Amino acid sequence: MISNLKVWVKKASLALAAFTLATALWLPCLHLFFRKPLSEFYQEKGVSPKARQLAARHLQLWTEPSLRQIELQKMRASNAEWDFMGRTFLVWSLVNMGLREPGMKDDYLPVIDQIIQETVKIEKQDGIYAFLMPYAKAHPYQVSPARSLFLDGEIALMMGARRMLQEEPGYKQPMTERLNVIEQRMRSNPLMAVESYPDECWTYDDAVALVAFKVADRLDGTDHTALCRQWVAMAREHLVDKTTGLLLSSYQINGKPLYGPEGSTIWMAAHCLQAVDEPFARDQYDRARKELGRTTLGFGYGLEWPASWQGPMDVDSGMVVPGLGVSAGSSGMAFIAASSFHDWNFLQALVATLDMAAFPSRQNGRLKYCASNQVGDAALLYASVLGPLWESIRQP
Amino acid sequence: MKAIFGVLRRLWKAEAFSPSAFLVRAAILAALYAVSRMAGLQEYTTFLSGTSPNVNLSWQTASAIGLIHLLLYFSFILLVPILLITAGLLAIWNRWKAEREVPVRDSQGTPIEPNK
Repeated sequence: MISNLKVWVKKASLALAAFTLATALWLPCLHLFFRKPLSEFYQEKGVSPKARQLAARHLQLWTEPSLRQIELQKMRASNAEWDFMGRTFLVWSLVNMGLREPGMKDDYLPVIDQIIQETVKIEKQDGIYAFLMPYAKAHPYQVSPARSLFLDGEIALMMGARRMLQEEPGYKQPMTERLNVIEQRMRSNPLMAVESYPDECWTYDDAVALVAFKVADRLDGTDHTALCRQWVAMAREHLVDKTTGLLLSSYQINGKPLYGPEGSTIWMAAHCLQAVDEPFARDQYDRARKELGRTTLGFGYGLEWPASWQGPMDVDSGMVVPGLGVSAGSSGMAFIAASSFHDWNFLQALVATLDMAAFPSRQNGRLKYCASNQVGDAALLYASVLGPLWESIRQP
Repeated sequence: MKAIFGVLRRLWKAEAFSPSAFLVRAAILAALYAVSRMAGLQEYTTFLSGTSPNVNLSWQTASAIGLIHLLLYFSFILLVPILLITAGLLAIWNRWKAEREVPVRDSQGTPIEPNK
């Protein structure tokens, strides 16, 4: 009996040792099966194969309303904001694609116009709450009439981006009106705080609005340089977390911090600020990369919070992998920042994670990631084509 | 066909820590993942983005389906290769050990079978 037990223990120990060795051999190799040339995802010139496939899927959603309805229903059940952001990311992506391939402009412009016009129509019919989360109705806005910088900034930038691809006079006035409202509200208080939600201001939305001002300057000969400089100076003084040096995600209209440096916000804020103040944006990206960007066994991902900040996981964070702290929201936005700041190694590691864990599904030349959703895929598409729009804004 | 069933039977009845047993485990996990993949359960992994996988199903049910696929997939890309490598390592070990064991021979040089 004892001898049998001894044999069993010996065999089990041997198997365990072999299993441990096998694990040590396999884990470092795993990424090699998912690591592809970066040019499959991002190309400096032209459009990468993945971008083309992702775009094909989105264009299909906008040409087949029944498909779009299903996707939007799924997303709106969780977050109405995603419906809106899925539109804006897609418009910005198509503009960049049109700038990369001018021959395709005529294919993209009707979809871009359809998205902008439908979005504005919904906002007009159902009000700003159509694209906001339900808690927006819990309290009144501090500044009346109620407006959301989230909507005004992104719609202005959609219109501006469209005009950068090809001028459309019909967008000039509504874009200018929105920017005038934002400017007037920014100038009305020393912190330049403009609400996205009642008594809730987001640096993500501030950064998007600043890019929209830059686009207006380029298109209409206005000059918002001083306003942008003023905002950056104010942000450096009042909106930076002292421990990490990263921008806070949100704050109250009196400047009181709400959320700290959240991954799902800071990557995008850094990307937008690149068109406004390159050194400041680069500094924010480098800090975010250090605090929130990780590569483990060849797979890249983003954390939602830096180690020094204890923050809650919200709807923007997406699913968070316990232990590693991998946040779907932060990782998705990290693609945009890594691509924007030409951090090719990190971008390649992020793409490896995407191919490993996001369940790519290809059908008739169209690509979607099953673990993602329409807004997630649109953000990925944007990360794979961004560049030309910001370049044309920054041209002297 | 009979031979195939014979091999399968031997594999199925293999000792718990033998290379064959690890091969069987790898094959079972791979087969389960293949079924899940063919059934299209990967569509339900959209719960990872915080999105409702199927508006006609409750969030819990749809997410549970997605989670099952997720676990099977990670078993397929992590456990299956590890089990296969383990089987290979054990097979190499067993072979090496068998070669090292010099059989006892009688005065004419004929190997003597050990007493059973």
